[in-house]
Amino acid sequence: MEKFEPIKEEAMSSVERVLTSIKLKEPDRVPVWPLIDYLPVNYIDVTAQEMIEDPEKSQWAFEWIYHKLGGFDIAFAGGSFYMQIINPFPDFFSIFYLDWRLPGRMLDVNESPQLVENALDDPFFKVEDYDKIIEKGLLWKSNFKRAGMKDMMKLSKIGPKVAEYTEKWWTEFKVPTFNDGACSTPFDLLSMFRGSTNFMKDIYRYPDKIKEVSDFLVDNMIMMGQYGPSQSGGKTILVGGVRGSADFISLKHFEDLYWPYFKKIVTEYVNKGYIVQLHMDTDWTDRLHYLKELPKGKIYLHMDERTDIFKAKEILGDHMCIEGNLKPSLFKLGTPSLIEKEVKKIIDGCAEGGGLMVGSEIPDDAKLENVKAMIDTCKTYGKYK
Amino acid sequence: MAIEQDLVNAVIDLDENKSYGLVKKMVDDGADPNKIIEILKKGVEEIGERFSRKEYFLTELVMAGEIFQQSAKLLEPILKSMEKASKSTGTVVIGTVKGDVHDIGKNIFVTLLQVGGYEVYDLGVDIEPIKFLEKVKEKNANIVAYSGLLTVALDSMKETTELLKTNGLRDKVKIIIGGLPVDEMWMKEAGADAFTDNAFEGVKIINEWLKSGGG
Repeated sequence: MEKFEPIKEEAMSSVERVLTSIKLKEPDRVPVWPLIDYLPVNYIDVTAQEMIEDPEKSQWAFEWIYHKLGGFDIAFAGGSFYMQIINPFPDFFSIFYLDWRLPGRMLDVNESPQLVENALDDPFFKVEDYDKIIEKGLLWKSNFKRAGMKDMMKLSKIGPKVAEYTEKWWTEFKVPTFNDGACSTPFDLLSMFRGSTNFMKDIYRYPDKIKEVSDFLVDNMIMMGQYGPSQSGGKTILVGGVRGSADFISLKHFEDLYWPYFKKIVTEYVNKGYIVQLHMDTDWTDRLHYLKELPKGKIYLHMDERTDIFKAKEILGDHMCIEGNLKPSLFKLGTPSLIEKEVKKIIDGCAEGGGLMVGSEIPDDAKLENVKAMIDTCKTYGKYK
Repeated sequence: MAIEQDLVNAVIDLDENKSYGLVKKMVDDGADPNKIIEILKKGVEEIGERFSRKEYFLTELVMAGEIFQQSAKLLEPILKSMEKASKSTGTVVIGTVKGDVHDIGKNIFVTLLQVGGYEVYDLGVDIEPIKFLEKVKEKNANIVAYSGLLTVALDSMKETTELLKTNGLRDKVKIIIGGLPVDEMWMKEAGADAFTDNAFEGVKIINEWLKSGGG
């Protein structure tokens, strides 16, 4: 690997800094989290396929980007993408249920994977399948066309590697990993199965059926989300929210079909001792107050630029650590000074009293100097007195 | 008059069965199908207003589109037997650009364009620039719409615009880009004329272009 200066020591390690923030106390400075997926592919000798399928190579790439950017506060363990995507259980990321296009399989080795919506006219999952799920269980729907037994067998080799790298991040680099396991709501899962357009019609036509299946699924999904941590020994679980936001459904539908399940999932994981990251894509501003019903000081909320982070601070400041929310495309189209300005705005509005992390999903074609600008601004301007 | 208002209300309330029942009744009573379409549009437009006021959400737009399309299907046989249907407002070529497969927003935009009387050619997702060019040429389109969510989509949008330019078509079309993250920066980079994250606004923008003789 390229020779790097050792990461500059600060008053706290990243683990201490992040955990302090989650507990809603002030750490030494605002933690910073560039959520990096396939960015290294554009800069060093690693393919997108290797980022998924080769744990050594992906760990090497994650360590490279960590050092190249001078260190940041949350990281991925090598091999964890494989664990998520080639997941034998029907979770938000599982290729056995969802139409993933993967590099080296249906895409060029260097193209980032993409999740394709199920077809409008001929969805993977038909209306009559709602009843079949209750009758036969969800595993019945496994689809071995996109991945097979060979991929499943490989899991048993990758699991211990991910465990080794997870441990390495936490103890050697003292950086917490995230997304050791993942879960979403039955609503999000069914929406992926049916294709969102079909599912939105179902919401009007068969709301009771959706409820019935969701009641049936929720405990299974809670169990399946722990598959990743059971293999890697990780302590964190991501609970993803997408299709329940104000960019998709009304508050009435949210209250009926979404929130009860979301609350149950998150609360159970917290009770089991996991650190839960709420990964909320799109606009949740008008439903942030519901999150106050979740356990205090045990969770952090990732939001993108569609959700108003300043409102989140106002509503959740004394209840939940918030994280976000620079716009991803800024890292491709913007400049370091523009990023610095945006980061300062978030710190000025939300850092007081702790409970803030700054971050964004980093597009795979981002400019490194822009990512570095976000990190450096948090390290300097984000210091607590 | 009462039945017309009932139909507008049924659409606004997203009551499928009632809407279809009323459409059928109006057909049986010998109403002009083009007039029924106008009434349905009135309902969908009100839904658009409620969407802009955040009283209605994407789900409601999808349902409105469904009710409009299913009703139009009921009217199709009669419209066909008539001399001519109403003239199309404009021709739109639309697709999610190369490298991106997100299409929830695109699909609803396509429906709303159809409601608005546009002739729409939906190329699908992950569309190569050349496909846009070919379709624009073939259909003599005056509007091109790119959809995308990922930053890689931006490069594809730019590439597509360049291709239209080198083929002498850029000045003959107006280009609009759509998707949740699109903004002015995206628009400039993509070489487009407008951007929106709201499908209803997008239709309004295109309506304005055509009214002012653009495109």
